[in-house]
Amino acid sequence: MKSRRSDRPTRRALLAGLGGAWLLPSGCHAPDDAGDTAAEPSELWLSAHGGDQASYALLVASAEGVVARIESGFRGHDVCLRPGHPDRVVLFGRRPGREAIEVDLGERRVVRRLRVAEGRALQGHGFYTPDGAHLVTSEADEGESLGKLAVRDAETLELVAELDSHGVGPHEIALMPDQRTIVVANGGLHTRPESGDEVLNLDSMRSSLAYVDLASGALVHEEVHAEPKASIRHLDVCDDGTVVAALQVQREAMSHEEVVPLVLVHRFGERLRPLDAGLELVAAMQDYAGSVAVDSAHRVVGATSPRGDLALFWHVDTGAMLGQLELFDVCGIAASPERSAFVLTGGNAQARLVDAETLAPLAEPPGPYADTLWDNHLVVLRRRRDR
Amino acid sequence: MKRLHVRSSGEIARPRAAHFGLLVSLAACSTEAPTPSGPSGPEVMQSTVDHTIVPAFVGFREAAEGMRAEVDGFCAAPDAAGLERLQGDWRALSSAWNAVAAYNLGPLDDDVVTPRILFIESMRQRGVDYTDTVRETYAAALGGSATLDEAHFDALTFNQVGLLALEVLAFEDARAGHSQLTDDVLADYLEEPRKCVYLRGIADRLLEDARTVEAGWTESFAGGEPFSEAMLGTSLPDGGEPIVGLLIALQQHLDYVKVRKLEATLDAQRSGHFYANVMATLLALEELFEQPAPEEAVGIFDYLLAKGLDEDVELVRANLDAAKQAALAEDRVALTNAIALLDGNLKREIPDGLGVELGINFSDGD
Repeated sequence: MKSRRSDRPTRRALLAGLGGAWLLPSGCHAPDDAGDTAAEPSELWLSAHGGDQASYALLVASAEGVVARIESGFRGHDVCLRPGHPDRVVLFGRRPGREAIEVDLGERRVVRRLRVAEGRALQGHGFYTPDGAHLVTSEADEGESLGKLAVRDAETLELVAELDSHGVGPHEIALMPDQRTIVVANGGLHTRPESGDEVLNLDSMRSSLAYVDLASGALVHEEVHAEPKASIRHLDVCDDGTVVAALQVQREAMSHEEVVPLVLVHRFGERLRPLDAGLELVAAMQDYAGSVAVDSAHRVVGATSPRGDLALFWHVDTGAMLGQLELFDVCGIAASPERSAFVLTGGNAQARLVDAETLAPLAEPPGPYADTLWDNHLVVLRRRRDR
Repeated sequence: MKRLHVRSSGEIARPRAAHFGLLVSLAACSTEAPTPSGPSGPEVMQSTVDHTIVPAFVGFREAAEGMRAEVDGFCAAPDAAGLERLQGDWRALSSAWNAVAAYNLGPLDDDVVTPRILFIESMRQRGVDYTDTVRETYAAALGGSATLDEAHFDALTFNQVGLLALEVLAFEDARAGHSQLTDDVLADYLEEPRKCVYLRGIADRLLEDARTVEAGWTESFAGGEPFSEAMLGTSLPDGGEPIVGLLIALQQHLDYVKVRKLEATLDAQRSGHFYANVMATLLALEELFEQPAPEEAVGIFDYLLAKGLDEDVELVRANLDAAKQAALAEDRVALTNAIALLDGNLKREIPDGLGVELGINFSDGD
């Protein structure tokens, strides 16, 4: 791949060709860069996009607006960066997905297309190993939704290993800072492609936060929530290994109306710890947290609820509730180390920036993003520093 | 604890003559061009706000004033006729409320933790029937010596006030068993003068809420322009499109009636007014869609019909009729089914016809 170290892009160049190289903020790592200039957006915001087959795409945006839409042909879900290939990202197909695409941001094109094996379905999330050699995706067998972690050669996309997720319906996965352990949000929900989102095992569902050894596939540790109808579906990992998970409660399967905290913190060796927000705010999330992100520099976690048009923020360590943001259909959330901020995306083509420490809105809302349909998740990709 | 409440309001310009924005809201988002002969999106929203929503909130405030006046009349000389009038006014107030309860946005949804709607209808929070809380609260107040002044009632929580509290006070006595016999209810008021003081306080509190909500629509909301202006602009304080906010509010209300009431706990049982309340909601919904008056009014159905979506309109009309018939017949099962169908219409036919996107995360998250 050609070097882009010397073509630090001007805004015009960026908009014209997405020149420059980009780095994915590594989970909760502290920012090591000084920020933005008015002329050169220092980071890209990536999201699945679209409302129908014709508009499904990988959306590439910046704080100034839409940079590109790269047609995917399927509804995407999450995005991840390929280490060592700073212009390459992967858009995963939404559950039950059949495809993922690897995209070259510089060339604005789909480089290759991953198609899962017969009987397997992508669950929308994945990551590359730090050396960029392997792509790991959360998958499920289409018969019983038994969880799989597919490990593929990043170059050929050939399956080199298939690990057990040690649960049903795995959703978001991440590599722990030890670079040997995968943390898996096993949602516990059994669905089938032909019946869409209908959950077929509400009576017996079992969700877990599983730690799986990347090399052997062995279950290292498992945490199960006290509420059996709470599905652990999304997570983020701090640089010290603290995991924050977001839940979706299957209320129709429950026999009580008690509100269930929707965000959990887990440290290895400890039990799951709920982040409380008070009954009313938790209730306002309507049993549904759609996405979660951590700013490790400030030890702040944000979780979104599109059903409640609400994002809530806590201190990871103290569990103190720090603030809330109301935004229509808010779901995408990511930490922006460049800005020391959270970026949030919602319906009606909106995005917001809030300071990661004070949670105050930053200046004017970013954009515009006319005709943009931000899908569930957002990834912030910062420009590689030229030193 | 530091708790920041960050609203997005103020970040988005909402010009008074925001017809372009509304055109985007109701027409330009559609892949189809607006029908030249039909009403425009701005015209529909303007008519909806001016001829349906705002008058309904005026009606609610007037009903609250009527109730408050009747409280004074009754308490001046409590008797059976006065109690009957008081109960009649409660029913009228409840119907007026159910004609606006579906517009749970802006002034009714003014706080994410305890929005004003809860102070009027406490069950709205999570379907909990707070009758026992109301009874315990006023029993403690009547039994104590504290002054029942404005400050006392201002300090009450949402589950101690509102229509439920007024219903309890007007339709049952305070003794064990809570008799609804007229003589028993009257006896309470005759034997305990503080009960009238309490009734006045609760009625005052509700009237204040009704006035505040109406003023929020017509005068000023959250220290800014009236909420009706936001509805005629391009976006609401949370950044959503006005038409989308309205449709989602309607959906959520129907879902609340179905899930929390019809499938769980029927409210307004002391007054025997549950089905009348649902009918009030259905009639309000019908008026919103049809905009029958005045002559120049144009509604959502006019917009859909101008686009040739006659079948969709007829489908919604049929479901509305079925719901009204079920409410009249007090047929719980049929009403549940009909409201579920209407809820579906608000998620599919109507937004599709209007060409609006309800929010892919809200409606189809993962």
